[in-house]
Amino acid sequence: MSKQTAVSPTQWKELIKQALDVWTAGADDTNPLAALSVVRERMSGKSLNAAISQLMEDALLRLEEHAPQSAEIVRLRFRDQNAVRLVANKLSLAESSIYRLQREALHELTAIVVGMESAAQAQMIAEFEERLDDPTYFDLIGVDAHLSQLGEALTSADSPLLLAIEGIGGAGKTALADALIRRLIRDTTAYAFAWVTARQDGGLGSGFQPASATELSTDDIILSLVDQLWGNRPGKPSSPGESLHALEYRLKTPHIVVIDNLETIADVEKLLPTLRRLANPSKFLLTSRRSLYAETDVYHYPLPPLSLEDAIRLVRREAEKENLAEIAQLPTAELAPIFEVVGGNPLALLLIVGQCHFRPLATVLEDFREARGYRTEQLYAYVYRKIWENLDDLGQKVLMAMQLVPPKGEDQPFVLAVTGLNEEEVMNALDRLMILNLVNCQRDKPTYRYSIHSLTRSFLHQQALKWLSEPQQ
Amino acid sequence: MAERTPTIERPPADSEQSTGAMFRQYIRNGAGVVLARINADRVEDIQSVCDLSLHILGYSLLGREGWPLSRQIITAVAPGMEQFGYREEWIRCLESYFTWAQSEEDTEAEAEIGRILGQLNRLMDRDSAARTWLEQSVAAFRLCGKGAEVAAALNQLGRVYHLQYRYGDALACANEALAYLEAGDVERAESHYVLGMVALSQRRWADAEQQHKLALDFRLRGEDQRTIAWAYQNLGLVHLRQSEYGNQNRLQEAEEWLYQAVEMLESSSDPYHLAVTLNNLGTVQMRIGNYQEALRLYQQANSAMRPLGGQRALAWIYNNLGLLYLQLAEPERAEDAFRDGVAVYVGLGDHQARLNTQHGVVLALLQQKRFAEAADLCEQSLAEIESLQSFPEEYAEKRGWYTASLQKARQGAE
Repeated sequence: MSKQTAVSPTQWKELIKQALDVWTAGADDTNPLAALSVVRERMSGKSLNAAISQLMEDALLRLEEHAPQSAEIVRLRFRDQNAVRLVANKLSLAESSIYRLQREALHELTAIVVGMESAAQAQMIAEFEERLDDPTYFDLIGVDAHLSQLGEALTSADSPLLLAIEGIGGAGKTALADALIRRLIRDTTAYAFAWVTARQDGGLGSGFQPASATELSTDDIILSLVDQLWGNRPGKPSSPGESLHALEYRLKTPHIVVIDNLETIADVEKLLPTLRRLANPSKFLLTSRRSLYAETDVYHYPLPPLSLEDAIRLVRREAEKENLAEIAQLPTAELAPIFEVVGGNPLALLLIVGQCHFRPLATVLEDFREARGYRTEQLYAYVYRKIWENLDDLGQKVLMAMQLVPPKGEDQPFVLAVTGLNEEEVMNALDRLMILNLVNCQRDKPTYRYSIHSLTRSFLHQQALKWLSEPQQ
Repeated sequence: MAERTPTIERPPADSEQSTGAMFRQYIRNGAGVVLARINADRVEDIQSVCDLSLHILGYSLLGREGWPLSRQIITAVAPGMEQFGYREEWIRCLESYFTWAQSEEDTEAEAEIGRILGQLNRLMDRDSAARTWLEQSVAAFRLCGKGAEVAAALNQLGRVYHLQYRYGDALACANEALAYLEAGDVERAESHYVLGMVALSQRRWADAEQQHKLALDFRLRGEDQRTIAWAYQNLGLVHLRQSEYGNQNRLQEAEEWLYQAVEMLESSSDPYHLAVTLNNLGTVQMRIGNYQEALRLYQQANSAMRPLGGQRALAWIYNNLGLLYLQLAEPERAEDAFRDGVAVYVGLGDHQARLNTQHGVVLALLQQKRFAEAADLCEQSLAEIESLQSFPEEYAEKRGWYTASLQKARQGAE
């Protein structure tokens, strides 16, 4: 029972019967109770047999709280294997009453286990979701086919153990992996989940790398996984060697582990053999800007650009969100030229929509016409350059200052101080830059923090290098 | 701390200023904000100031813009950077700034940056690099005629010599530093620390205790809770070592000093020294039989030290974990932990400490009844141990361990 499907009352009745049989007949790995969250959470370091017995004892304790006689009947009949006659004698009841009371007790016990399973599932989902970062997307467009294909590849028994989503920065690899894992967490009980991320702040990877960009090593990945899977629970391994051995054991219970931004890991050549050692039955999902085509045992999933249809849906959704009704309502034929110019690159499409706040779509497209056919890196460089050229003086000044804001963002007084402009000027410019999708704003009580996307930062770094090479007066 | 906080300059009303000039002005303004935040009476979030400093310093470096301001930022932010565990990226940044200082012919800045680099490399257990930077720093401060700064750099150099088992050189540095320093200068705490650590390594217990108490005295005058906690930790360490190797049970005193240190370090946000203290406290707990508490403390120490890259401290934590697992009769986990410790010491080139932890591997193998492997490792180690003859007590002690274990391994194999 790997898929998390609704269990009917009849199925539950059967499951409880099987659980009660475990006291006398034991359980092997094919026992359907093994798929229950309420059993899995009792399995740490125990056999399936012991976990199911423990579940029954726990459920009986709950039953005992409000129906002590019912709990006793179940124990006497199923755990201690007493005949009905004996139980009737012990409890001074008629044999016929025992049958009725047993039926009622099993009914109540089933209701208790159903409640426990539902709570365990909710807790497990919450625990797994806590291992993920907050989603960076509102809703995803054009990913349904990717989610199905990757979901199938990750959960089918005979698929490769290492899978890689590959694509350029801004293509949505992390968002896709996040959406996939969130879906699987709710859809399957066959796997536990973990996520290790190495954030990338350097944009397209060309030019200046911010001083704060740090790389993770294989040992860091191992130790982060240990932190996530053990938390502060007893038995947590400590040193890297011990951690590797403990992980090998732990990952024998199927897990899906995501390693996000693989390209930022210092020693990929050491990491991949380690992952192979840890995989099976667990699987690893990697996201990477670099293709791992040389690794023949990796299932490669190059993330394609959005299709025309999805690109237009994204444009419409963004226009609606930004109150650009005149764009949202345009017929497909009139929106298609946007796709012809920048293709299906989500970030580029959003940047184009942002431009429409200030200029008619036709003018915007005329401006970007030259980008047609560019490779993605060139496309972004071109798009940003055009946007820069179209900014007014104030917008340019504030955007120029925004690269002095660290990746985590800064408050408005910082931007004021760096630019030396007055508050009204800065706020007007920031509002405009936010509309253009060039600046993000997050509420960090009691202030607002402003930041820029890594691709915007990459473009601005290139500009900074040019500005700073100008001869000083 | 910074000498002055610059005022923010407005861009010219017309747009005649070139973009390059304007961006340079922005970098200077950004540096001004950093300095103002560092100098603020109450810094809300020192770590975010450190992040911002690194970011702005990166741009100053890129544009070679605003040397005096950048220099002020470095000096002002360095203690926070060290305290909060900024290492690799901060070292890279400082190395570039060192080159810039040279091109500006700013010898005092070279000396100061060299001292900071020496200290950071020492904390990362890159002893050789640390020594090179600190020797340069001492020389540059001497050239500037800055006696107190020469002493501070000498004290750092003394720490490195101690880690390299060059006890004579360490003592010479600390004594010379004391000669430079005024009678009431709190920097004298550092000199006494070096003298105390050498005494401890040489198992001169009374001297070690006295030096660390003198260090505490000066730390108290400085009224810095963080460094007072260091002195508490060192006194705890002296009592712990004395209990382990000096035939005196002073574990209770050790525990008291160390708990006080933990309390103060937790409130001072000093993860490096907190990890060191937790590790020693773990050993105290193991010695008094509180194994689960010891395990908790070692794991906490390990988690705190790992991101800071203190290799020697990590190796020591692994060694202690190995010993604890032996006590808990978990020899496989003990072997993993000891082998991790050995690997770190090999990386550091610290063979004296490595031979210590390597004996832990032997003990773990014996407990697993893997006698042949244990015997091989004993023989290999006994051959290596001859290099320790210049440290007679350690030589005799380790030789004794390996010889006894070899005998057990051979008996077990029969």
